[in-house]
Amino acid sequence: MIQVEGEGYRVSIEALRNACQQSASLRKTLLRYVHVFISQTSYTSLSNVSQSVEGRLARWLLMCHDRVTGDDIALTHEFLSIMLAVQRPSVTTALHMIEGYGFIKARRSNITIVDRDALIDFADGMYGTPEAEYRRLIGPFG
Amino acid sequence: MSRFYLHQQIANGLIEDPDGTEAVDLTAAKHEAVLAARQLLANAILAGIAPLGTAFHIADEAGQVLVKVPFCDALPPGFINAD
Repeated sequence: MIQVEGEGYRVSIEALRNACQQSASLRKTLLRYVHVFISQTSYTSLSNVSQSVEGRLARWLLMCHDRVTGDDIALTHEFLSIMLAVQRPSVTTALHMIEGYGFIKARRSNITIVDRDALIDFADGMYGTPEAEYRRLIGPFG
Repeated sequence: MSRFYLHQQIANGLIEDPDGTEAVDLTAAKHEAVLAARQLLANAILAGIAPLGTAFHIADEAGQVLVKVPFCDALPPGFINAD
């Protein structure tokens, strides 16, 4: 699912399967990606059961920030509420709180990351490990 | 369907709902406000702090407040029965 503006490639399943059979390095890279993605998904589960909505939102904003150019993230409260599996006003309230701490600026359909390091601290260990795995196994990131 | 805005009353003002929500009528919007208030109250209780908000002001697209839903109205029946 595409969440924000960006570029990508599209390839048919069959062509990718053939390429994987022929190229050990491609197979290895994609399996490393699978490993990193499972790690990220595990952290999402952990975050969902152990963190406040603000903590979960901080983590999600950091993950979005890694994937966009610049500091602006164009996402609505509605969309964030779906990603965090909470009611929309919980996102609005959490954004208000995080903005009050000075970590972000929230405008209609746009969130600006103001203090990334503080957001990482606030995410309390739930952000960073899968990202470090990506850098260790695949390449530069974020 | 109409668009309703769930602005949240807090101690020193309002947290504005920037986008609003589509609902069939005001009753449906009130139901959504009750569910949202329950989640905000639950999150505050889990965090061991007082909730920021005290009520939702449900407004229409023109900005007119149609009804206020105090968070205490969102408590399930019999919730405050401890004594």
